[in-house]
Amino acid sequence: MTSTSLWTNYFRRDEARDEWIELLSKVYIFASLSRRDLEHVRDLMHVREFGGNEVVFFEGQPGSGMYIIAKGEVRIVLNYGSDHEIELVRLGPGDFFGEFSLIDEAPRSATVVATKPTTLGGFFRPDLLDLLARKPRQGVQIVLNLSEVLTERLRRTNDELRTARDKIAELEERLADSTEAAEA
Amino acid sequence: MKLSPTTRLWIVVLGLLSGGLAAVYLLLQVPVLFVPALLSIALFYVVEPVLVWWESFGYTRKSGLLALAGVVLASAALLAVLLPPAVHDQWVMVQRRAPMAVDELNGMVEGIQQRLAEVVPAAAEGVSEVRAKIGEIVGSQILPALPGLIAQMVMGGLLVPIILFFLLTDGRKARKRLLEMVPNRNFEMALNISHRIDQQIGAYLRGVIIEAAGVAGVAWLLLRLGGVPGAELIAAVIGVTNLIPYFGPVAGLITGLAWCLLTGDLSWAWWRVAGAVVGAQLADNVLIGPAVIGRAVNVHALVVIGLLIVAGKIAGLIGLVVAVPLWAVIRVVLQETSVAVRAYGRYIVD
Repeated sequence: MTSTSLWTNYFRRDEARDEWIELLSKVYIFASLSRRDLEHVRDLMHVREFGGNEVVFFEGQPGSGMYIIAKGEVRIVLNYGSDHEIELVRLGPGDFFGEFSLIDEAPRSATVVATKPTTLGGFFRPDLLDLLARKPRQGVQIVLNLSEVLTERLRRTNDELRTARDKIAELEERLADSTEAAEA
Repeated sequence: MKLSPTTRLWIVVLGLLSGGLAAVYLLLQVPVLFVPALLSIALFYVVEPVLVWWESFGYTRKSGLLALAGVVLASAALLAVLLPPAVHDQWVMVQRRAPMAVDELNGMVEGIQQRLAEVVPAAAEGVSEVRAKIGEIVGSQILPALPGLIAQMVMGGLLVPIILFFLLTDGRKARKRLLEMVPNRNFEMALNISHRIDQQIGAYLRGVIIEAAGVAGVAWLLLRLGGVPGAELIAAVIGVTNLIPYFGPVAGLITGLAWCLLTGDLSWAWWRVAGAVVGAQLADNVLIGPAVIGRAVNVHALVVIGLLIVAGKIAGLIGLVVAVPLWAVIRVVLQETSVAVRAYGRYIVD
Protein backbone atom coordinates (compact mmCIF):
# COMPACT_ATOMS: atom_id res chain seq x y z
CA MET A 1 0.00 0.00 0.00
CA THR A 2 1.48 3.38 -0.94
CA SER A 3 1.44 6.33 1.40
CA THR A 4 -1.01 8.17 -0.86
CA SER A 5 -3.64 5.47 -0.90
CA LEU A 6 -7.17 6.23 0.15
CA TRP A 7 -6.98 4.27 3.41
CA THR A 8 -3.78 5.78 4.75
CA ASN A 9 -5.21 9.24 4.08
CA TYR A 10 -8.40 8.35 5.86
CA PHE A 11 -6.71 7.43 9.09
CA ARG A 12 -3.78 9.87 9.04
CA ARG A 13 -4.21 12.99 11.15
CA ASP A 14 -3.76 16.24 9.31
CA GLU A 15 -0.71 17.63 11.11
CA ALA A 16 -0.99 21.13 9.65
CA ARG A 17 -4.60 21.22 10.81
CA ASP A 18 -3.60 20.06 14.28
CA GLU A 19 -0.98 22.80 14.45
CA TRP A 20 -3.61 25.41 13.64
CA ILE A 21 -5.98 24.02 16.30
CA GLU A 22 -3.14 24.13 18.81
CA LEU A 23 -2.37 27.72 17.84
CA LEU A 24 -6.02 28.83 17.95
CA SER A 25 -6.48 27.32 21.42
CA LYS A 26 -3.78 29.73 22.67
CA VAL A 27 -5.38 32.82 21.10
CA TYR A 28 -7.46 34.49 23.82
CA ILE A 29 -10.45 35.14 21.54
CA PHE A 30 -10.82 31.41 20.78
CA ALA A 31 -9.35 29.97 23.99
CA SER A 32 -12.69 29.03 25.58
CA LEU A 33 -13.85 26.96 22.58
CA SER A 34 -13.81 23.15 22.51
CA ARG A 35 -11.59 21.28 20.05
CA ARG A 36 -14.60 20.64 17.80
CA ASP A 37 -15.50 24.34 17.77
CA LEU A 38 -11.88 25.22 17.04
CA GLU A 39 -11.93 22.81 14.09
CA HIS A 40 -14.96 24.68 12.81
CA VAL A 41 -13.17 28.02 13.20
CA ARG A 42 -10.13 26.55 11.39
CA ASP A 43 -12.38 25.50 8.50
CA LEU A 44 -13.66 29.07 8.23
CA MET A 45 -10.20 30.64 8.36
CA HIS A 46 -8.21 31.75 5.31
CA VAL A 47 -4.52 30.83 5.42
CA ARG A 48 -2.37 33.36 3.58
CA GLU A 49 1.38 33.35 2.87
CA PHE A 50 3.19 36.73 2.83
CA GLY A 51 6.70 37.44 1.61
CA GLY A 52 9.29 39.58 3.42
CA ASN A 53 8.35 43.31 3.35
CA GLU A 54 4.92 42.50 1.90
CA VAL A 55 2.12 44.69 3.28
CA VAL A 56 -0.74 42.79 4.95
CA PHE A 57 -2.95 45.86 5.04
CA PHE A 58 -2.55 49.64 4.96
CA GLU A 59 -3.44 52.30 7.53
CA GLY A 60 -6.80 53.80 6.51
CA GLN A 61 -7.88 50.78 4.44
CA PRO A 62 -11.40 49.46 5.27
CA GLY A 63 -11.04 46.75 7.91
CA SER A 64 -12.43 43.26 7.28
CA GLY A 65 -11.13 41.11 10.11
CA MET A 66 -8.24 39.80 12.17
CA TYR A 67 -5.09 37.82 11.48
CA ILE A 68 -3.31 35.25 13.65
CA ILE A 69 0.42 34.72 13.09
CA ALA A 70 1.38 31.07 12.61
CA LYS A 71 4.94 31.57 11.35
CA GLY A 72 7.17 34.57 10.74
CA GLU A 73 6.92 38.11 12.04
CA VAL A 74 5.06 41.35 11.28
CA ARG A 75 5.67 44.93 12.30
CA ILE A 76 2.87 47.40 12.96
CA VAL A 77 3.70 50.91 11.80
CA LEU A 78 2.14 54.35 11.57
CA ASN A 79 2.73 56.65 8.55
CA TYR A 80 4.21 53.73 6.60
CA GLY A 81 6.60 54.73 3.84
CA SER A 82 6.81 58.37 4.96
CA ASP A 83 9.62 60.25 6.72
CA HIS A 84 7.59 60.13 9.93
CA GLU A 85 7.21 56.35 10.02
CA ILE A 86 6.75 55.05 13.59
CA GLU A 87 7.08 51.37 14.40
CA LEU A 88 4.64 50.53 17.18
CA VAL A 89 5.39 46.87 17.78
CA ARG A 90 6.65 43.61 16.26
CA LEU A 91 4.48 40.51 16.60
CA GLY A 92 5.42 36.83 16.26
CA PRO A 93 3.83 33.37 16.19
CA GLY A 94 0.70 33.11 18.37
CA ASP A 95 0.06 36.87 18.32
CA PHE A 96 -2.96 38.35 16.60
CA PHE A 97 -3.90 41.78 15.23
CA GLY A 98 -6.76 43.59 13.48
CA GLU A 99 -9.43 42.21 15.81
CA PHE A 100 -11.25 45.59 15.99
CA SER A 101 -12.34 45.05 12.38
CA LEU A 102 -14.42 42.04 13.40
CA ILE A 103 -16.80 44.47 15.10
CA ASP A 104 -17.00 47.22 12.49
CA GLU A 105 -15.57 48.16 9.12
CA ALA A 106 -13.75 51.25 10.41
CA PRO A 107 -10.47 52.10 8.63
CA ARG A 108 -7.36 50.23 9.81
CA SER A 109 -5.50 52.26 12.43
CA ALA A 110 -2.01 51.22 11.30
CA THR A 111 -0.14 49.47 8.50
CA VAL A 112 1.03 45.89 9.02
CA VAL A 113 4.10 44.63 7.12
CA ALA A 114 5.60 41.14 7.16
CA THR A 115 9.31 41.37 8.01
CA LYS A 116 10.11 37.90 6.60
CA PRO A 117 8.14 35.03 4.98
CA THR A 118 5.06 34.83 7.20
CA THR A 119 2.03 32.58 7.44
CA LEU A 120 -1.17 34.22 8.69
CA GLY A 121 -4.63 32.84 9.39
CA GLY A 122 -7.33 35.38 8.53
CA PHE A 123 -10.66 35.35 10.35
CA PHE A 124 -13.01 37.92 8.86
CA ARG A 125 -16.35 39.56 9.55
CA PRO A 126 -18.23 37.40 7.00
CA ASP A 127 -16.75 34.31 8.73
CA LEU A 128 -17.87 35.57 12.16
CA LEU A 129 -21.36 36.37 10.83
CA ASP A 130 -21.51 32.90 9.29
CA LEU A 131 -20.47 31.35 12.60
CA LEU A 132 -23.05 33.42 14.51
CA ALA A 133 -25.78 32.16 12.16
CA ARG A 134 -24.74 28.50 12.11
CA LYS A 135 -23.27 28.04 15.60
CA PRO A 136 -24.72 30.87 17.72
CA ARG A 137 -23.29 29.53 21.00
CA GLN A 138 -19.72 29.48 19.67
CA GLY A 139 -20.22 32.76 17.83
CA VAL A 140 -21.46 34.52 20.97
CA GLN A 141 -18.54 33.04 22.94
CA ILE A 142 -16.09 34.54 20.45
CA VAL A 143 -17.88 37.91 20.51
CA LEU A 144 -17.77 37.88 24.35
CA ASN A 145 -14.04 37.08 24.36
CA LEU A 146 -13.51 39.79 21.78
CA SER A 147 -15.45 42.25 23.97
CA GLU A 148 -13.17 41.35 26.90
CA VAL A 149 -10.09 42.07 24.78
CA LEU A 150 -11.55 45.38 23.62
CA THR A 151 -12.64 46.32 27.15
CA GLU A 152 -9.15 45.58 28.47
CA ARG A 153 -7.62 47.71 25.71
CA LEU A 154 -10.09 50.52 26.51
CA ARG A 155 -9.26 50.28 30.22
CA ARG A 156 -5.53 50.52 29.49
CA THR A 157 -6.11 53.44 27.14
CA ASN A 158 -8.16 55.19 29.86
CA ASP A 159 -5.35 54.59 32.38
CA GLU A 160 -2.78 55.99 29.97
CA LEU A 161 -5.02 58.96 29.24
CA ARG A 162 -5.45 59.61 32.97
CA THR A 163 -1.68 59.44 33.50
CA ALA A 164 -1.11 61.78 30.56
CA ARG A 165 -3.70 64.26 31.92
CA ASP A 166 -2.08 64.15 35.37
CA LYS A 167 1.28 64.83 33.79
CA ILE A 168 -0.12 67.71 31.75
CA ALA A 169 -1.76 69.18 34.90
CA GLU A 170 1.51 68.82 36.79
CA LEU A 171 3.45 70.49 33.96
CA GLU A 172 0.87 73.31 33.78
CA GLU A 173 1.22 73.83 37.55
CA ARG A 174 5.00 73.92 37.26
CA LEU A 175 4.80 76.30 34.33
CA ALA A 176 2.47 78.58 36.29
CA ASP A 177 4.82 78.47 39.30
CA SER A 178 7.87 79.29 37.20
CA THR A 179 5.99 82.12 35.42
CA GLU A 180 4.99 83.57 38.80
CA ALA A 181 8.54 83.25 40.04
CA ALA A 182 9.88 84.94 36.91
CA GLU A 183 7.36 87.80 37.23
CA ALA A 184 8.21 88.26 40.89
CA MET B 1 1.45 52.26 -21.40
CA LYS B 2 1.33 51.23 -17.73
CA LEU B 3 -2.15 50.75 -16.33
CA SER B 4 -3.00 51.68 -12.76
CA PRO B 5 -3.71 48.81 -10.30
CA THR B 6 -7.40 49.88 -10.13
CA THR B 7 -7.74 49.80 -13.92
CA ARG B 8 -6.11 46.38 -14.01
CA LEU B 9 -8.50 45.22 -11.29
CA TRP B 10 -11.49 46.42 -13.33
CA ILE B 11 -10.11 44.60 -16.37
CA VAL B 12 -9.89 41.40 -14.29
CA VAL B 13 -13.46 41.83 -12.93
CA LEU B 14 -14.90 42.58 -16.38
CA GLY B 15 -12.90 39.65 -17.79
CA LEU B 16 -14.34 37.32 -15.15
CA LEU B 17 -17.84 38.67 -15.80
CA SER B 18 -17.42 38.18 -19.56
CA GLY B 19 -16.13 34.66 -18.90
CA GLY B 20 -19.20 33.99 -16.75
CA LEU B 21 -21.51 35.30 -19.47
CA ALA B 22 -19.71 33.22 -22.08
CA ALA B 23 -20.19 30.17 -19.83
CA VAL B 24 -23.91 31.03 -19.51
CA TYR B 25 -24.14 31.37 -23.31
CA LEU B 26 -22.42 28.00 -23.84
CA LEU B 27 -24.68 26.36 -21.25
CA LEU B 28 -27.67 27.89 -23.02
CA GLN B 29 -26.73 25.83 -26.06
CA VAL B 30 -27.31 22.76 -23.89
CA PRO B 31 -30.68 23.48 -22.25
CA VAL B 32 -30.68 20.04 -20.66
CA LEU B 33 -27.82 21.27 -18.45
CA PHE B 34 -28.56 25.00 -18.29
CA VAL B 35 -32.06 24.87 -16.84
CA PRO B 36 -31.21 22.36 -14.05
CA ALA B 37 -28.00 24.28 -13.23
CA LEU B 38 -29.87 27.56 -12.98
CA LEU B 39 -32.73 26.03 -11.00
CA SER B 40 -30.24 24.37 -8.64
CA ILE B 41 -28.47 27.68 -7.97
CA ALA B 42 -31.81 29.41 -7.29
CA LEU B 43 -32.91 26.54 -5.03
CA PHE B 44 -29.54 26.62 -3.26
CA TYR B 45 -30.29 30.15 -2.07
CA VAL B 46 -33.68 28.99 -0.76
CA VAL B 47 -32.45 25.80 0.95
CA GLU B 48 -29.18 27.19 2.36
CA PRO B 49 -30.88 29.44 5.00
CA VAL B 50 -33.02 26.45 6.06
CA LEU B 51 -29.86 24.38 6.60
CA VAL B 52 -28.17 27.27 8.46
CA TRP B 53 -31.26 27.49 10.70
CA TRP B 54 -31.05 23.71 11.27
CA GLU B 55 -27.35 23.94 12.15
CA SER B 56 -28.07 26.75 14.64
CA PHE B 57 -29.74 24.13 16.89
CA GLY B 58 -26.46 22.22 17.08
CA TYR B 59 -27.32 19.60 14.44
CA THR B 60 -24.85 18.80 11.70
CA ARG B 61 -25.29 19.90 8.09
CA LYS B 62 -25.28 16.25 6.99
CA SER B 63 -28.25 15.45 9.23
CA GLY B 64 -30.02 18.53 7.81
CA LEU B 65 -29.38 17.31 4.27
CA LEU B 66 -30.70 13.87 5.23
CA ALA B 67 -33.83 15.39 6.79
CA LEU B 68 -34.31 17.55 3.70
CA ALA B 69 -33.85 14.55 1.40
CA GLY B 70 -36.44 12.71 3.52
CA VAL B 71 -38.97 15.54 3.16
CA VAL B 72 -38.35 15.80 -0.62
CA LEU B 73 -38.63 12.00 -1.10
CA ALA B 74 -41.81 11.83 1.01
CA SER B 75 -43.35 14.70 -0.99
CA ALA B 76 -42.30 13.03 -4.26
CA ALA B 77 -43.83 9.73 -3.09
CA LEU B 78 -47.05 11.51 -2.10
CA LEU B 79 -47.21 13.23 -5.49
CA ALA B 80 -46.43 9.94 -7.24
CA VAL B 81 -49.44 8.40 -5.51
CA LEU B 82 -51.83 11.34 -5.89
CA LEU B 83 -50.86 12.83 -9.25
CA PRO B 84 -50.83 9.99 -11.82
CA PRO B 85 -54.61 9.28 -11.72
CA ALA B 86 -55.45 13.00 -12.05
CA VAL B 87 -52.77 13.58 -14.73
CA HIS B 88 -53.88 10.45 -16.60
CA ASP B 89 -57.56 11.53 -16.56
CA GLN B 90 -56.68 15.02 -17.76
CA TRP B 91 -54.31 13.66 -20.44
CA VAL B 92 -57.04 11.35 -21.78
CA MET B 93 -59.51 14.23 -21.76
CA VAL B 94 -57.07 16.54 -23.56
CA GLN B 95 -56.33 13.88 -26.18
CA ARG B 96 -60.06 13.44 -26.80
CA ARG B 97 -60.75 17.16 -26.83
CA ALA B 98 -57.70 18.32 -28.85
CA PRO B 99 -59.24 17.88 -32.36
CA MET B 100 -62.48 19.53 -31.22
CA ALA B 101 -60.54 22.38 -29.61
CA VAL B 102 -58.64 22.97 -32.85
CA ASP B 103 -61.96 23.04 -34.74
CA GLU B 104 -63.43 25.46 -32.18
CA LEU B 105 -60.39 27.72 -32.48
CA ASN B 106 -60.58 27.57 -36.26
CA GLY B 107 -64.27 28.44 -36.08
CA MET B 108 -63.57 31.38 -33.79
CA VAL B 109 -60.78 32.71 -36.01
CA GLU B 110 -62.93 32.25 -39.13
CA GLY B 111 -65.74 34.18 -37.45
CA ILE B 112 -63.37 37.03 -36.61
CA GLN B 113 -61.93 36.88 -40.12
CA GLN B 114 -65.38 37.13 -41.72
CA ARG B 115 -66.35 40.10 -39.58
CA LEU B 116 -63.03 41.76 -40.34
CA ALA B 117 -63.45 41.09 -44.06
CA GLU B 118 -66.72 43.03 -43.99
CA VAL B 119 -65.09 46.02 -42.32
CA VAL B 120 -61.39 45.98 -43.32
CA PRO B 121 -60.69 43.45 -46.12
CA ALA B 122 -56.91 43.95 -45.93
CA ALA B 123 -56.85 43.04 -42.21
CA ALA B 124 -58.66 39.77 -42.96
CA GLU B 125 -55.82 38.80 -45.29
CA GLY B 126 -53.40 39.59 -42.48
CA VAL B 127 -55.34 37.28 -40.15
CA SER B 128 -55.14 34.51 -42.77
CA GLU B 129 -51.39 34.90 -42.96
CA VAL B 130 -51.01 34.90 -39.16
CA ARG B 131 -53.26 31.81 -38.97
CA ALA B 132 -51.19 29.98 -41.54
CA LYS B 133 -47.99 30.98 -39.76
CA ILE B 134 -49.30 29.81 -36.36
CA GLY B 135 -50.44 26.51 -37.91
CA GLU B 136 -47.01 26.08 -39.43
CA ILE B 137 -45.21 26.84 -36.14
CA VAL B 138 -47.46 24.49 -34.16
CA GLY B 139 -47.16 21.72 -36.76
CA SER B 140 -43.47 22.00 -37.59
CA GLN B 141 -41.91 23.29 -34.35
CA ILE B 142 -44.03 22.95 -31.21
CA LEU B 143 -45.52 19.47 -31.70
CA PRO B 144 -42.27 17.77 -32.83
CA ALA B 145 -40.42 19.47 -29.93
CA LEU B 146 -42.86 18.20 -27.28
CA PRO B 147 -41.34 14.69 -26.71
CA GLY B 148 -37.85 16.25 -26.43
CA LEU B 149 -39.17 18.87 -24.01
CA ILE B 150 -40.75 16.20 -21.81
CA ALA B 151 -37.49 14.18 -21.86
CA GLN B 152 -35.57 17.34 -20.90
CA MET B 153 -37.94 17.97 -18.01
CA VAL B 154 -37.48 14.41 -16.73
CA MET B 155 -33.69 14.69 -17.13
CA GLY B 156 -33.75 18.09 -15.39
CA GLY B 157 -35.85 16.66 -12.57
CA LEU B 158 -33.11 14.08 -11.99
CA LEU B 159 -30.19 16.50 -12.36
CA VAL B 160 -31.49 19.29 -10.08
CA PRO B 161 -31.23 17.31 -6.79
CA ILE B 162 -27.74 16.06 -7.72
CA ILE B 163 -26.38 19.55 -8.55
CA LEU B 164 -28.16 21.03 -5.53
CA PHE B 165 -26.65 18.37 -3.24
CA PHE B 166 -23.11 19.22 -4.38
CA LEU B 167 -23.75 22.96 -4.05
CA LEU B 168 -25.02 22.49 -0.50
CA THR B 169 -22.18 20.20 0.59
CA ASP B 170 -19.22 21.74 -1.26
CA GLY B 171 -20.39 25.25 -2.25
CA ARG B 172 -18.58 26.97 0.64
CA LYS B 173 -15.38 25.01 0.07
CA ALA B 174 -15.47 25.86 -3.64
CA ARG B 175 -15.84 29.57 -2.85
CA LYS B 176 -12.96 29.36 -0.36
CA ARG B 177 -10.75 27.61 -2.95
CA LEU B 178 -11.55 30.34 -5.47
CA LEU B 179 -10.66 33.04 -2.95
CA GLU B 180 -7.35 31.26 -2.23
CA MET B 181 -6.31 32.08 -5.78
CA VAL B 182 -6.71 35.85 -5.23
CA PRO B 183 -3.37 37.66 -4.62
CA ASN B 184 -2.80 39.01 -1.09
CA ARG B 185 -3.16 42.65 -2.16
CA ASN B 186 -6.73 42.07 -3.41
CA PHE B 187 -7.77 39.39 -0.95
CA GLU B 188 -9.77 41.36 1.64
CA MET B 189 -11.54 43.29 -1.10
CA ALA B 190 -12.38 40.08 -3.02
CA LEU B 191 -13.67 38.48 0.19
CA ASN B 192 -15.94 41.46 0.88
CA ILE B 193 -17.17 41.62 -2.71
CA SER B 194 -17.97 37.90 -2.80
CA HIS B 195 -19.76 38.12 0.58
CA ARG B 196 -21.91 41.09 -0.43
CA ILE B 197 -22.69 39.72 -3.88
CA ASP B 198 -23.63 36.40 -2.30
CA GLN B 199 -25.95 38.14 0.18
CA GLN B 200 -27.62 40.37 -2.40
CA ILE B 201 -28.06 37.69 -5.05
CA GLY B 202 -29.33 35.29 -2.38
CA ALA B 203 -31.88 37.81 -1.14
CA TYR B 204 -32.95 38.64 -4.70
CA LEU B 205 -33.28 35.04 -5.91
CA ARG B 206 -35.11 34.01 -2.72
CA GLY B 207 -37.43 36.97 -3.27
CA VAL B 208 -38.04 36.01 -6.90
CA ILE B 209 -38.80 32.38 -6.01
CA ILE B 210 -41.06 33.31 -3.09
CA GLU B 211 -42.79 35.87 -5.33
CA ALA B 212 -43.37 33.29 -8.10
CA ALA B 213 -44.68 30.80 -5.53
CA GLY B 214 -46.91 33.45 -3.94
CA VAL B 215 -48.36 34.51 -7.30
CA ALA B 216 -48.94 30.85 -8.23
CA GLY B 217 -50.61 30.29 -4.83
CA VAL B 218 -53.00 33.25 -5.21
CA ALA B 219 -53.80 32.26 -8.81
CA TRP B 220 -54.42 28.65 -7.74
CA LEU B 221 -56.76 29.78 -4.95
CA LEU B 222 -58.76 32.02 -7.30
CA LEU B 223 -58.90 29.34 -10.01
CA ARG B 224 -60.06 26.74 -7.49
CA LEU B 225 -62.70 29.11 -6.15
CA GLY B 226 -63.84 29.63 -9.76
CA GLY B 227 -63.97 25.85 -10.29
CA VAL B 228 -61.59 26.05 -13.29
CA PRO B 229 -60.22 22.59 -14.24
CA GLY B 230 -56.43 22.12 -14.18
CA ALA B 231 -56.04 24.99 -11.69
CA GLU B 232 -52.67 23.59 -10.50
CA LEU B 233 -51.15 23.59 -14.00
CA ILE B 234 -52.47 27.03 -14.94
CA ALA B 235 -51.37 28.50 -11.58
CA ALA B 236 -47.87 27.00 -11.97
CA VAL B 237 -47.55 28.56 -15.45
CA ILE B 238 -48.81 31.92 -14.13
CA GLY B 239 -46.22 31.73 -11.32
CA VAL B 240 -43.30 30.91 -13.65
CA THR B 241 -44.24 33.38 -16.39
CA ASN B 242 -44.54 36.07 -13.70
CA LEU B 243 -40.70 36.13 -13.80
CA ILE B 244 -41.02 37.91 -17.17
CA PRO B 245 -41.89 41.54 -16.38
CA TYR B 246 -44.86 43.09 -18.24
CA PHE B 247 -45.30 40.20 -20.70
CA GLY B 248 -45.42 37.40 -18.12
CA PRO B 249 -49.05 37.92 -17.04
CA VAL B 250 -50.15 37.94 -20.72
CA ALA B 251 -48.24 34.69 -21.33
CA GLY B 252 -49.90 33.18 -18.23
CA LEU B 253 -53.31 34.31 -19.42
CA ILE B 254 -52.81 32.85 -22.92
CA THR B 255 -51.64 29.52 -21.45
CA GLY B 256 -54.64 29.40 -19.12
CA LEU B 257 -57.06 30.17 -21.94
CA ALA B 258 -55.39 27.58 -24.20
CA TRP B 259 -55.83 24.97 -21.48
CA CYS B 260 -59.50 25.87 -21.06
CA LEU B 261 -59.93 25.60 -24.84
CA LEU B 262 -58.40 22.12 -24.72
CA THR B 263 -60.64 21.03 -21.86
CA GLY B 264 -63.72 22.54 -23.51
CA ASP B 265 -64.39 25.01 -20.68
CA LEU B 266 -63.40 28.20 -22.48
CA SER B 267 -66.94 29.58 -22.84
CA TRP B 268 -67.57 29.83 -19.09
CA ALA B 269 -64.04 29.72 -17.63
CA TRP B 270 -62.23 32.41 -19.67
CA TRP B 271 -63.25 35.30 -17.44
CA ARG B 272 -62.37 33.31 -14.32
CA VAL B 273 -58.88 32.63 -15.69
CA ALA B 274 -58.56 36.33 -16.59
CA GLY B 275 -59.79 37.23 -13.08
CA ALA B 276 -57.24 34.88 -11.50
CA VAL B 277 -54.40 36.46 -13.54
CA VAL B 278 -55.55 39.99 -12.63
CA GLY B 279 -56.06 39.02 -8.96
CA ALA B 280 -52.60 37.38 -8.77
CA GLN B 281 -51.04 40.47 -10.38
CA LEU B 282 -52.78 42.76 -7.89
CA ALA B 283 -51.66 40.61 -4.97
CA ASP B 284 -48.13 40.61 -6.39
CA ASN B 285 -47.96 44.38 -6.88
CA VAL B 286 -49.63 45.32 -3.60
CA LEU B 287 -48.59 42.57 -1.16
CA ILE B 288 -46.15 39.90 -2.29
CA GLY B 289 -43.65 41.96 -4.33
CA PRO B 290 -43.08 44.76 -1.79
CA ALA B 291 -42.90 42.23 1.07
CA VAL B 292 -40.43 39.73 -0.38
CA ILE B 293 -38.28 41.89 -2.66
CA GLY B 294 -37.51 44.68 -0.21
CA ARG B 295 -34.59 46.08 -2.14
CA ALA B 296 -36.13 45.40 -5.51
CA VAL B 297 -33.75 45.45 -8.42
CA ASN B 298 -35.62 48.09 -10.36
CA VAL B 299 -35.05 47.73 -14.06
CA HIS B 300 -36.36 50.41 -16.41
CA ALA B 301 -39.19 49.30 -18.71
CA LEU B 302 -37.17 50.11 -21.84
CA VAL B 303 -34.23 48.07 -20.53
CA VAL B 304 -36.62 45.18 -19.83
CA ILE B 305 -37.96 45.30 -23.40
CA GLY B 306 -34.42 45.42 -24.83
CA LEU B 307 -33.34 42.55 -22.56
CA LEU B 308 -36.31 40.42 -23.51
CA ILE B 309 -35.79 40.97 -27.23
CA VAL B 310 -32.09 40.04 -27.04
CA ALA B 311 -32.57 37.14 -24.59
CA GLY B 312 -35.54 35.78 -26.55
CA LYS B 313 -33.47 35.89 -29.74
CA ILE B 314 -30.51 34.11 -28.08
CA ALA B 315 -32.28 31.55 -25.92
CA GLY B 316 -35.99 31.54 -26.70
CA LEU B 317 -38.40 30.93 -23.83
CA ILE B 318 -35.62 30.11 -21.32
CA GLY B 319 -33.96 33.40 -22.23
CA LEU B 320 -37.17 35.32 -21.56
CA VAL B 321 -37.51 33.76 -18.10
CA VAL B 322 -33.88 34.23 -17.00
CA ALA B 323 -33.15 37.59 -18.70
CA VAL B 324 -34.19 39.96 -15.90
CA PRO B 325 -32.79 37.91 -12.96
CA LEU B 326 -29.49 37.49 -14.86
CA TRP B 327 -29.37 41.23 -15.57
CA ALA B 328 -30.01 41.88 -11.87
CA VAL B 329 -27.09 39.57 -10.96
CA ILE B 330 -24.73 41.35 -13.39
CA ARG B 331 -25.81 44.72 -11.98
CA VAL B 332 -25.17 43.59 -8.40
CA VAL B 333 -21.68 42.33 -9.36
CA LEU B 334 -20.80 45.65 -11.03
CA GLN B 335 -22.30 47.77 -8.23
CA GLU B 336 -20.53 45.88 -5.45
CA THR B 337 -17.22 45.88 -7.34
CA SER B 338 -17.55 49.61 -7.91
CA VAL B 339 -18.24 50.26 -4.21
CA ALA B 340 -15.28 48.08 -3.16
CA VAL B 341 -12.88 49.58 -5.70
CA ARG B 342 -13.78 53.08 -4.45
CA ALA B 343 -13.07 51.98 -0.86
CA TYR B 344 -9.95 49.86 -1.48
CA GLY B 345 -8.66 51.19 -4.81
CA ARG B 346 -6.02 53.59 -3.49
CA TYR B 347 -4.55 50.86 -1.27
CA ILE B 348 -3.93 48.47 -4.13
CA VAL B 349 -0.25 48.62 -4.99
CA ASP B 350 1.98 46.78 -7.43
